[in-house]
Amino acid sequence: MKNNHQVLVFKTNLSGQREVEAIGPVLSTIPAVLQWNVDLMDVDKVLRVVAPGLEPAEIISLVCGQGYNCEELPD
Amino acid sequence: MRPRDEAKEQAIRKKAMELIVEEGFDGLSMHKLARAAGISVATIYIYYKDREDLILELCKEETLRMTEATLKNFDPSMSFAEGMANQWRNRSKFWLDNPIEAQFLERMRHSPHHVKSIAFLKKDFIEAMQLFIHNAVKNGELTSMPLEVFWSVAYAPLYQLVKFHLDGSSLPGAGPFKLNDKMMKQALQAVIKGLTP
Repeated sequence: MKNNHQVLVFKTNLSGQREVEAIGPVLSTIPAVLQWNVDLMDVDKVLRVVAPGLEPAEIISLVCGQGYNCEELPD
Repeated sequence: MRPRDEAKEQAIRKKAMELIVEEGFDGLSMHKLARAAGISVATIYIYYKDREDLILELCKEETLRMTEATLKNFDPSMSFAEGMANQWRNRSKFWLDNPIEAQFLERMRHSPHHVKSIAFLKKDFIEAMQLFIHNAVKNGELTSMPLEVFWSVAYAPLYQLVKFHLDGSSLPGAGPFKLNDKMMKQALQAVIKGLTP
């Protein structure tokens, strides 16, 4: 079943601005990603992605592919 | 699309303002807020990008509500006494009806967010207040003075009375305090007298 959620929210281990910038290029390869940010102030270093119709697994595999942890935050 | 849940959103906003008023901006984290509002952290991020985004959104909405309440039935061409009575009514009503929201806005004004928060003040609000003062000076109903002096004399007494009322007590040894219309009228008369040439 296709996921229609607009906003996807993940817990990551991105710890600084440089790491955030490192995942930028891979996220921008997905056309469905309209907007994204990482809340570095939060203990969960929350990655928030606005992407209509995108499966969370796609983001997880991309971010993990860069060597970082990324898991969906439970609703 | 995950539907926006109006009730959840309202619960987040209310709790966030309560946390800020009680514990300051440092007292607000997305996790603490989630616990306090009885929702998941993920849910908060559906609505807001981060803490800063949440604080500024709250400020924007509450500033708009505050200015609408303050401008209710107000006309800059009113006589000075009439306009002041309207302003005292509107401003005290907003505070008394929305103590958390009003204290949140006050905290914003006295924080590093200050510059961003005043940007939410709509131009028509600022212009109406300036025009009112300008007219009153022109008509000889108000002594010309720096804006800060005017504001401090015109409104600080009202806000102080409202704060005494919300605290339920005033000065040490004075016992419990409850603001009533008679006291407000008394203070307003003293203020108008002080501001009139």
